[in-house]
Formats: sequence, C-alpha cells, structure tokens
Amino acid sequence: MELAALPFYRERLGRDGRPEPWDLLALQEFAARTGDPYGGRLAPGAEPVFSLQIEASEDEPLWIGLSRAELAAWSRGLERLLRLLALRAGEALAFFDFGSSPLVLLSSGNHAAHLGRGAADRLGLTTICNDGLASLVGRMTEIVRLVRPAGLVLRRDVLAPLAEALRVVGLELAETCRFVAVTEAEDAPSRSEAERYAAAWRVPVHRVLRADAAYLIGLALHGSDEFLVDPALHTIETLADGELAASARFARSCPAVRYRLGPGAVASGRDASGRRWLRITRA
Amino acid sequence: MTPAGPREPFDALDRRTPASLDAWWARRMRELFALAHAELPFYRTRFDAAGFDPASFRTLADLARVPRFAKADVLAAQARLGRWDVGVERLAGHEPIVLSSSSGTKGTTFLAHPPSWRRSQGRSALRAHFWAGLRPGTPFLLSAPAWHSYAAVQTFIAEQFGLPCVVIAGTYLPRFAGRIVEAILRFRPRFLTMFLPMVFSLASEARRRGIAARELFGGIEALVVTGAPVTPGMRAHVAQTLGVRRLVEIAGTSESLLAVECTAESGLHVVPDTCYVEVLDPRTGEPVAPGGRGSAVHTCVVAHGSMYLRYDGGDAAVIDRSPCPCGLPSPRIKLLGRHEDAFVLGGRALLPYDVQLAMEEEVPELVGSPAVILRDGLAEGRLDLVLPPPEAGAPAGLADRLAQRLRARLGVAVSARVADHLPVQFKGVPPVLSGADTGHRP
Repeated sequence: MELAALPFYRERLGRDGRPEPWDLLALQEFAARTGDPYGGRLAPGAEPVFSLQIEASEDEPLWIGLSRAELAAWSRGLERLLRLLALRAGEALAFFDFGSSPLVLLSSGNHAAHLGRGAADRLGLTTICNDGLASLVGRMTEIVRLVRPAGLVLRRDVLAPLAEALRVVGLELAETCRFVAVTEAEDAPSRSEAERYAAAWRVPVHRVLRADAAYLIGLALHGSDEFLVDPALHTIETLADGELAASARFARSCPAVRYRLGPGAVASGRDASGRRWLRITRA
Repeated sequence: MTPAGPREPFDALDRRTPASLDAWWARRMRELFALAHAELPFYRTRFDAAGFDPASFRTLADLARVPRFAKADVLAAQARLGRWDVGVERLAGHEPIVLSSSSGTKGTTFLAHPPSWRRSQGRSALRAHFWAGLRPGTPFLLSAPAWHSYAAVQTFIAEQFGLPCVVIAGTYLPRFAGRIVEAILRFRPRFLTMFLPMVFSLASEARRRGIAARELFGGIEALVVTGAPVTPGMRAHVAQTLGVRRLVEIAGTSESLLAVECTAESGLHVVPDTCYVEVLDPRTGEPVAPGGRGSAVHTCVVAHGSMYLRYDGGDAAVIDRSPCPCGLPSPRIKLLGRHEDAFVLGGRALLPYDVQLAMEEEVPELVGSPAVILRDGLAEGRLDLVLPPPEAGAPAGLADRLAQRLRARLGVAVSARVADHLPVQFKGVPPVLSGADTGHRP
C-alpha cells in the first residue's frame, strides 16, 4: 500500500517514508478539517462492504471501512484469542455490549454482514448479545440464569449495574460462568478493577484492550499485566518517546499504520501450546 | 376481480392466487405440525393433551384443532425447566447458534437462530424488504439491535443484495440519535428501516443541529417503520414532513410474525414463507368476522430454530382477505397495539391507536400531533388528553374543539389540555400515563 496516496498519511510521511505515529485525536482533527468520514485513510479505489463508526470518536465521528477479506482476517484474530479461553463447542458466550463492538460483530456472521462465519461460529459456540445499556441489566440476569453462559464479555460501564443486579436476584456467577472478559472502547480496564470483580464473582476476569482505529484486540488473562496480540494481524513497535504504536498487517481498505497505544513495552513469546504472541505491557 | 399478480414479483410465490397460497400454507403446516410432534417436546405434550393428531391436518380450517399458546406458557416452561430452551427449538447437531431475546415487559424469552434458520428466514425477509422497495445499490444501515432476531436477518439481506453496510457505534435508541443522523448524512441510504419512535428522535436531533428533516430524510426512497401502528394521518404527516417518497409499515415480532405494507397501502401483507396469521376472537378462539378486531395468532412456517406454532403474541389486529390492488396473494393485517394497553371507554375497548385515529379524523389540524392519555381519567370512564403547545399559525381553540368532537364521537366526557412540554418521547400513538407522570391533574 502506497501511503502517500492516502491524504491522512501523506501529510504525516517522514523522510524515511513512514508516517508520524498518530492517535485518535489527530485522526479526528483531520476528519474535521476535510469532512472525510474515514479521516483520509480510505485507499483509492477501495469500496468497503462494511463501515463501522469508531466508538470513541464521539465529537467528530470517524469510520473504518473493511472488505470481506479484512473482516474475515480480523475475525480470525478474535478466534485465536477466544481459543485461549478454552471454550468448548456447544457452550454459550454472552455479550453485554453493543452490537457495534468489534468483539460482538466479529463473533458471528449473524452480527456482521459479509463476514461469513465469525469467530464464535467457527468454534461452534452459542452466542447471545444484550445491548450494553445499564437499563437492560434485567435481561442480562435472565441470560445468566437461563442460558448459563460459560463466558461473559462485558462493557466496563455495565460491570457495577450487573454486579448489583446479580446480587439482588441472588445469582452466583461462578455457578455457571468460567470467566468474564471486560472491554472498554479504545482502552482497557485496569487490573485492579478486574481483580475486584474477580474476587466478588469468584471467576477469573480477563481484560480486553481495544484500539478500534487500528483494528486491535488484545487480551490480558486474569492476573496478568500482558495483553496478548496476534502477530499475524499486527506489528507493535516502541517509539522513541516510550509509547507503543500498532500497525495492522491485514488492513488495506483503511490502513492503520503506527497508531499510538500509549506508553508501554512489547515483547514476543509463545504460549503453552507453542503459539506466538506479541505481549504488550502498558505503563 | 382478482388482480393478475404483482407488477414486480419477488418470485413464483408472489404469483400464486390466494386459494393456491392457502393450499401451499396448508401443506407446509401439515409438515411442520408433524415435525413438531415428532421432534419438539413442547408441542408433543400440548398436541397430545388437546387430542390433535398432525396426520389429520388437511386444510387451514383444521388450525382450529391445534392448541394455541402465549408468552406466559413459554415463561412458565422456562421457569419449570430452568433453561432457555423449552422444547420449541428445532436444531440440527452441532450448528453454531445465535440466540436472540424477545422484547416486551412481561419477561424475557429466547429464540434460537442456527445458520439453517438464517438462510430460510433471511430469504423470506428479503422478500419482505423487496416488497418494501429495497433494491441493490444502496448503502444499508444495520439498525436492528443485536439482541433482536432481526439483526441476523438484516445482515443476510445485505449479503444477498451485496449492499455495503454501515454500523453506528451504539444502538438505535434516542441517546444515539446524533450518531445515526451522522451516518445518514455521510452515507445517504436510499432505503432505511427504523423503529418508528426513532424517526421522531432523529427529526428532533436534526432540528437541534439546524438541519431540516427533509434534508436529512429527503434522499430516502423508502422509509420502513416498525414498532407502532401508523394511522393514515400519521403516515401522510411523516412522509410529508420528512420528504420521503414512501413510508412503509412493517409488523414484525421476534417470534416470526412478519407482514409488510404493499404499494397500494391497504394493509400489511403477511409474508407467506415466514408465517400464517389468524385473527381470532380472544374469548372464543373463533376467527373474527371480516373487518373485526381480534388477537393476532400466527404460525411460523420456517422449520428451523425456534418454531412458534399458533402463538398468540398479545397483539390486537384486523385482517383483510379481500383481493389487494397490488396483486400480492396473501391476506393483509394491521396490528393496532397490545391488548395489555387497551382500556374501556363508553363500554368499548379502545387502544391508543383509536385515540390517535379519532384525533386526526375529528380535527385534521392535529394530524401527526403527539398527545398523552391520562390513566387517571380512564379509571373514571373519562378521556383526558394532554397536548403540546399548538404550532405557530395553528387555529385557536384546537384543544377545545378536539374535546368537543371526541365527546360526540366516543360518548364519554373528554378533556384536552395544553402543556408546555410532554413528558415522554412521542412514539406514534399516545402513551397512557398517570397525571403524576405528566404533572397534570385531570
């Protein structure tokens, strides 16, 4: 991909031919200046079959565009992360988040048009999604009680309402659920918060790092500071100022090159099954 | 005279005569009832208890022998079994399943959507959207919330027509109106489906931004609305105010009732490969007389996933089996509201829809006007309405005239008062609220 052909990157290209690292604010500023909903990142000739509004871009809405192949690649990355959670075919995974969360979208072809089979579909899972509004917490307790999901993926801002609702109806999450994963748009929940809920619910609480502008989903397993990122999908570099920057290998329609993830460190390593991961530790 | 068939049929099913479609439905249901008895414990128990043998099913008249059920029965089964699946779900082996939830305030039930369901239901919903005016070549806003079965169907439709899809961050509720407005302005869809109350939220958000509603909606050829019954006046008002070429009403439920308004705008055609609909007297269970009001009881004809066979979803409806000028063979229905929202005035059971209709018929200047019905008055056999301030240029004394005309029409005491603002977002028909909710004592 010739980045000089993309307005956003063209004006950020350095002498080395690489763009200056950027963050969401920079992209929003560009979008506001040019009126381009994709923020100058849409490749010439690209005709995305799927356009997704970046959740954290409230003031100046930004969009990412994907082809079928890109949706599939992103979804395969999610599948590799889900495999770490040892879900078995036939088990249920429940989301208490909006249908626009990449984790929901990429989990099933029912949720995202043009995806084909999603990550959970390929694992043979049953999925259910409840819109991520605190006012819908009653429905979520019914999902826990009757669907008995093996795993819950929760927006960070519904943690407290759900905890209270489960307490009121007397449901013990640990009786049915083997893990909870918590997500936050363009960020990750803190380890201390995750551990507080893990103690209250007596289940491991994993943390998800989301950088939607760069198509990045990382997973820190319970008790770990390291977010695992699929090296097949992303490269991560440490910048001179100590921040990390992510580049998506698979994104051609709307490339993400050198997106700032904040201060941290990155290493590479293999898990027990021999799979290689990038391991991000956020400062 | 029976029309020759639709000008632009979706497929051969659209070209059947009503009698031929009835025969098709009867054959399909005979198979479904046999499957249900053989494979689904919920139905086997109920069929056996009612003495219904699926092998004896021959014509649609035999439906009267098939036991009906309602949401309370599903909730009771969930409570008894302690699980979401209650024996109405036809699932094949190890297919991955997506579950959706029912809507409503009476409790949550769950529906199973394996890939085989999505293919069958999706094709039928594609027919419905084709009737509504969807064609290839437009961006498609995925507007269904992820918990609803329509979400799985929308994605299928987009894939079949090769439509580029647009997903806003969040969901289609008023607090996300800004994002939806943004998406419409950016992507300019020519076809849009939406919960009717959201249309009012979007128009309001556009106004807040200084954008005329016609600028926001003007490029939309077909605006498909669901979630509330649309009165004729409301239809004209919305279409004219927003500048959309066609406003199309869809009635759809999680449990696979689906009906869509045709180009003749004379009712909502039952989508034949999704369901068959009866309108029954809720007391006797007998079909209502032509034009009569009863309960919509539907039988889904998709033999995958959660199968709702003779399900009373609690909707009041009318049915029209007369030939439609559009040429589609299926009967037309109109869902008028929930039985639970009905009230009695002057000895007649009425719905908020009836009040909206009466308002626009008696005082045409009030077409499209929101209103609130006060529950306190209903309890005393009186209709007390609260209206927003009249629009600039409106004739004086509209509230008084409305009260007078409705008094004559309904034969009960009626008051109509103007409030500075109404306490809730308008949903297309007047909500019933207590005086305390509105700050207005009758």
